[in-house]
Amino acid sequence: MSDTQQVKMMVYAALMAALTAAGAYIAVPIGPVPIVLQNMFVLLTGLLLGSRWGLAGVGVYLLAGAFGLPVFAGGTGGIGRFFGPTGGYLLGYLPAVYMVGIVSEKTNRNAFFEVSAMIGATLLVYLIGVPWLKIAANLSWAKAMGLGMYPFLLGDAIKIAAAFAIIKAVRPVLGGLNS
Amino acid sequence: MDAEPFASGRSWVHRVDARLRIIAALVYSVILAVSNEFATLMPGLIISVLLTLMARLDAIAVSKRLLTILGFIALIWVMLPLTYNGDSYIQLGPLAISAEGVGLSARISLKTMAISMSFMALIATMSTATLGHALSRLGVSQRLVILLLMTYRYLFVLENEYHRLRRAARVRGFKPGTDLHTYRTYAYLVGMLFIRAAQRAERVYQAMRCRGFKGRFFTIADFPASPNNFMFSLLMAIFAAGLILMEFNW
Repeated sequence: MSDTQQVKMMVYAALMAALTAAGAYIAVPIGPVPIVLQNMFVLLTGLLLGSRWGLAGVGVYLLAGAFGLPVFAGGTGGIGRFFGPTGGYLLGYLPAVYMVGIVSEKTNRNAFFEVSAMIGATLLVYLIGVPWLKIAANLSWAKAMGLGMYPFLLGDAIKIAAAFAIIKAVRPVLGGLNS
Repeated sequence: MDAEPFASGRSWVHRVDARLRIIAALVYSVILAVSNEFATLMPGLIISVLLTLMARLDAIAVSKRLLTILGFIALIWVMLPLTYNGDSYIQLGPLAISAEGVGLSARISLKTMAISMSFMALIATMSTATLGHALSRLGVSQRLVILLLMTYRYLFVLENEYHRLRRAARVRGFKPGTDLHTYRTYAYLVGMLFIRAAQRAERVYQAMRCRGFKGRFFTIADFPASPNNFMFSLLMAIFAAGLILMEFNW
């Protein structure tokens, strides 16, 4: 990748990190649990920037939150969020964005594989987040999944559909990214 | 969003080398995070309160931040005592409250409050620009630091954009509900946010190319040695050692 392309990717990675932070503020009232859009932007980061730069974008988002910038859901921040019961979900964003990015790159942006990768990445976030919640709060598996997974699945399905629609619309405009 | 309410101040904590404060905050929070004894967590909270007092932070601003954090902790207090699988229970009317659940909730609350307050005192007392340059001097990847600084910059730009779009929707009489109109409006809002962000990224990229950006931000900030640094390091080392000793009941 040329220096010019690297600068371009750097700018977009920073903006995607900022968009992810903005997504934490946007709460859409769907069903019993309002959904926040930060994980939709995590998926979009992977689709748009690929595995390496996607990982950098999400990594810097988490780093900003760890150092206290109010970028997590509810306008919170601080390293304490990583040690709390919901810390696993935040850390799960890293493998999730990498997974979406690498699948997008290796399958030449095939729509079927990209949607499958987003579903897999969402499950990956739960795969790390739910056991973390279970251990941190000493819950049974059923309770941990009841509190930390089932109520959000509908919202996740909508976010995956929305991310797919957005990426289809945005890619032709942004052209050269992740290629 | 005021992300730096504590950055400007004249306390001695503000004058300590930013690199030392970053290292101290990380070490201190890891010690608290892995501690389990109340004998460690209680003094930990007291030390954090002392640090915020030494940093002369605005009590109202600290309280506001703590209230947001307390919102999350309140959920734990509602959930854990009722769902924790423990041995001893306290009967409160029809509810069986787990004593271990209460203990765990208290531990999580103490840890969260102590770590958050220490970060307010040690990290939030420097500007994000200083944080970036200090991280860079600590050997963190230059590229990651630049990304952090740029993200910080765009955070406010996008927040303003988001509020502008929301205001516009409100002026048009939009009230969020659980109907298709609401979802369509949110979809347009997110779409616009994304497009504006992409346009801005393109402009920033062109501007950086025009200026011959070579992957490095320069700064005139330096971190001179001072007696403050020595005092601070000594104090934090004593605090850390004390907490470790208490955790192991020595």
